[in-house]
Amino acid sequence: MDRSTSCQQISDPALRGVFECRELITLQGEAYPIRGTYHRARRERGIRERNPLGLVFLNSLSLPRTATGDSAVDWADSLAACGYPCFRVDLPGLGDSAGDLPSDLLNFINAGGFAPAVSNIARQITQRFDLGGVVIVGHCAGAVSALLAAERAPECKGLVLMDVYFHLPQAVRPTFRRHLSNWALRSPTGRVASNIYDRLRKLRMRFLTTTLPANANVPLLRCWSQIASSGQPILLLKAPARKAVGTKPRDGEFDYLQYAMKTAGPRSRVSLMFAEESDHSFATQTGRAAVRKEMTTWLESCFADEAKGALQNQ
Amino acid sequence: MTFKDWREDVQLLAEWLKNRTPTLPLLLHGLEIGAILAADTFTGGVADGLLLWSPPATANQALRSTLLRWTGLEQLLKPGAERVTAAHYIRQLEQGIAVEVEGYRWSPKLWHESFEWKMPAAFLPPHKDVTVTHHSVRSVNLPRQAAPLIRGGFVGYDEVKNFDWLFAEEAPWIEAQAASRFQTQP
Repeated sequence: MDRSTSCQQISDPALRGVFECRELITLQGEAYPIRGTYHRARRERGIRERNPLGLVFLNSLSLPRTATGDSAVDWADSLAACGYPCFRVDLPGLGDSAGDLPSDLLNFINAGGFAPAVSNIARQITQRFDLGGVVIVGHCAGAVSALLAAERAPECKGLVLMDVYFHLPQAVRPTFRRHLSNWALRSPTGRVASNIYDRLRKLRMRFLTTTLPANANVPLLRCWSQIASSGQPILLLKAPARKAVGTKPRDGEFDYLQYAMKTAGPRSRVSLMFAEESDHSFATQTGRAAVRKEMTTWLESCFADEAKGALQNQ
Repeated sequence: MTFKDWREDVQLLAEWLKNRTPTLPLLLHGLEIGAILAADTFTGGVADGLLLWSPPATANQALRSTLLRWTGLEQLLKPGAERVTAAHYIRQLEQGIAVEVEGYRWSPKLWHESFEWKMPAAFLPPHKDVTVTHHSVRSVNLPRQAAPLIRGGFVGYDEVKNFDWLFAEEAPWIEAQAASRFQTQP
């Protein structure tokens, strides 16, 4: 739709402002065009105007680029208002971007299937919008793609990883297992059985504290270690999980976040934040607000000093 | 967020598409509440065909279905003491308190208005195919396998599903509507 025409037809000045600050963009994909939305930075930021830092939001698994409850739109709008140009893109085969998705999408992502596409997007956005680099923002499976892409994208200056996971979950669980999970969730007896199972696993974990579980995503952990130890700023956002307390996993599960923090090395600049009163989607009003606040604070603390330093050097 | 705003959006887009390519057929396609909005726009005469997936009798029926699906999942993931039923949220809405569902804020106004937004009875299943002023309308109730597009399936929906089959079943009908439009053109 022609934006000037559409804006004339919108009577509410506030809404007109929203549409004028967004633009649909097309990037060159390997096989098909990649579609996205560009949220223009609104507030003047002085030094950062010269080579601003952009934020690239990735899809979470198969969700479109709006994310649950349009939460990604909300974050991109508010961060653009703070001076950061934001880009929400649909990876090949997702949302508006054409492409053939593999039937085992989760395994494809966990093996870094989207990493080349994400690094290509980071490069094109940086060049086309004359940016100093980008921060890649990923949620859940999107966080896995962000991390694996960062390794090969020199334009990536930082990462925001929301509820990232370092294990290899089963893409499709056997029917029996799904029935068992449903029973454990729904029935009082099932919940008791589930608690006993957790305690037995916790007991077993005591004897296996030094080794990674068999389903650990070792290449991803290796990539994490390399990126984190290089000193690249990383914000880890963790949402409350079922039967878990704070950033700790539920009883009997391996504490990947603790492991990741340990292996990040002394030069690392990793911030771990817990988004209280949220859920895995981070799309509740409290979850959104927490992400907005944490990201804004983190961006200011990590990149404001660098921008000032760059200006002084000039 | 009101039904009236959504209807205006659908009408604006349909008219824009029609004006942009007047020689091409325009089919409207809606799922649940989208079906009501599509039907509403279709009766204005802008489109050449209408495909409805799981059309509810009223928008409220679709809101309730969404609420049940969401609370079902929410309840299972929360400890017993924190669990809240769909009936509790409905009471809140009826008492004038907004609730948050799947990241969206549902206002009491939206809830009350949803009773007034109805699907024309002639478009509801079991009338699968009907003709309205020489244009075809197809109405289909999606099966359980179409979850999570509709209510059903397992908690968490950890499968990435291929929905090609949904479109494959309707493709011949869509092609027929397009062909019919070209035949009637002068």
